Amino acid sequence: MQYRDYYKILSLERDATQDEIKRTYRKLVRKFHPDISKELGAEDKFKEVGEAYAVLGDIEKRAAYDQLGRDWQAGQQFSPPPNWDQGFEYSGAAANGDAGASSDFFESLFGRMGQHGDMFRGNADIRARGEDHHAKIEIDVRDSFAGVTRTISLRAPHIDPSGRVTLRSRALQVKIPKGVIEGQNLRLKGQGTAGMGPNEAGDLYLEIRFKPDDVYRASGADLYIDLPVTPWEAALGAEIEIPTPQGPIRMKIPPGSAQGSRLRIKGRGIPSPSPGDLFAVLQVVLPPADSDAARNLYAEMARLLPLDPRVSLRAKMGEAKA
Amino acid sequence: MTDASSQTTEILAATPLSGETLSLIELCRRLQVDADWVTELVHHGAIDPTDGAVGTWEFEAITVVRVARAKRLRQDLELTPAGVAVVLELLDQISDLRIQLAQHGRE
Repeated sequence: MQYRDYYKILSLERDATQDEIKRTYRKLVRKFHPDISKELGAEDKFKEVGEAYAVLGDIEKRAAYDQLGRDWQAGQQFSPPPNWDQGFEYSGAAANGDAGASSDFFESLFGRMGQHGDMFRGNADIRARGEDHHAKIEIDVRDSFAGVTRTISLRAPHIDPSGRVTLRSRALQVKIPKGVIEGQNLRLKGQGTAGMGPNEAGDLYLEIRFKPDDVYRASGADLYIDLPVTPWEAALGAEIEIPTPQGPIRMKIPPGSAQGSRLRIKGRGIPSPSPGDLFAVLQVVLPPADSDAARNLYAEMARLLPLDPRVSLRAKMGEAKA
Repeated sequence: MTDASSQTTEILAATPLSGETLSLIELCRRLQVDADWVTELVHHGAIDPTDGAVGTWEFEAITVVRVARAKRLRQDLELTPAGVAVVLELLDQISDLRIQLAQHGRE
């Protein structure tokens, strides 16, 4: 078991006041709340902060923790000294945090937090259906094209036949159907907490997240790709090959296309019940002027195709001044 | 009796939420929350019933997910229903912005 430096987790000095601890905790809870933060690992950080506050936010637990001494380093191998908490009286106030979210370190010092309180809060009704669980799952955008089977691992409190609450990991093989979009929730019926007695189990909800993709950007069911083209393809039109989820297709770039133009390929986005479209966003790539021939060509264009690209910018600046 | 603890290699189907709706009572029972609190969320515009006057409200299946989030926000951040409504509104805006951002590339 490893020692946890709760002061470090909250970025506080050991002599911080209770008020500072509370303020810092509240700030960090907002920052790392899994419903608010998009950062990966926010959920772990959130639990860590909650555990730190469960100790430091409680004067009795804090005093007990402090007398372990200040010579410990986070991550150092730790076992509590015998009778380590002798002389400290606990009022038994409910700890703040998820059932089963606490570390081994915490549990060895203070016991499993919130165990019964959390499991049964508001759930005294013996006829209760099992609780729903909510989790996020990250898949590739491309997995939405044909569907995918993924193994997910969940840790959840479980009530065994003798009524004891234990934390259990379970692995589920889950088939994600094709056509899912970012933020969509899927349901696995009966995969939440088991119901009491003969009652229905809760459901497991999975929220879909897409990993960033090198080619596709998903916007709802629509997909966007950047499509590099030469100035002459954009100006004169061309027929080129582009990738789509259903395989490459040939498509026409209309003459006179501009940088940033969007070409829409209907129904070639994510195959949702109402399929999205695929948009190819033209990215005009300029040939480098790295030879005399190239520089001469650019010079000739300047002569033959006089262009003032800042006309409208000046007009707008003029308006702004007036 | 089926034992949920037996390890299984069965592949489970994750299904999109169906078009079924829930009444206020079903919603509260499902989430173990208080009807008054959910009613306040409706009054603050944080969740919308599909139809019906007070008393006969029906909610889309996805509302379960939204209220579960609201419940976590209330518990973890000690938010009032008005506070929950503001946070959910801002989260909706962020998610709309992400959808728009995807149209414009990453640079």
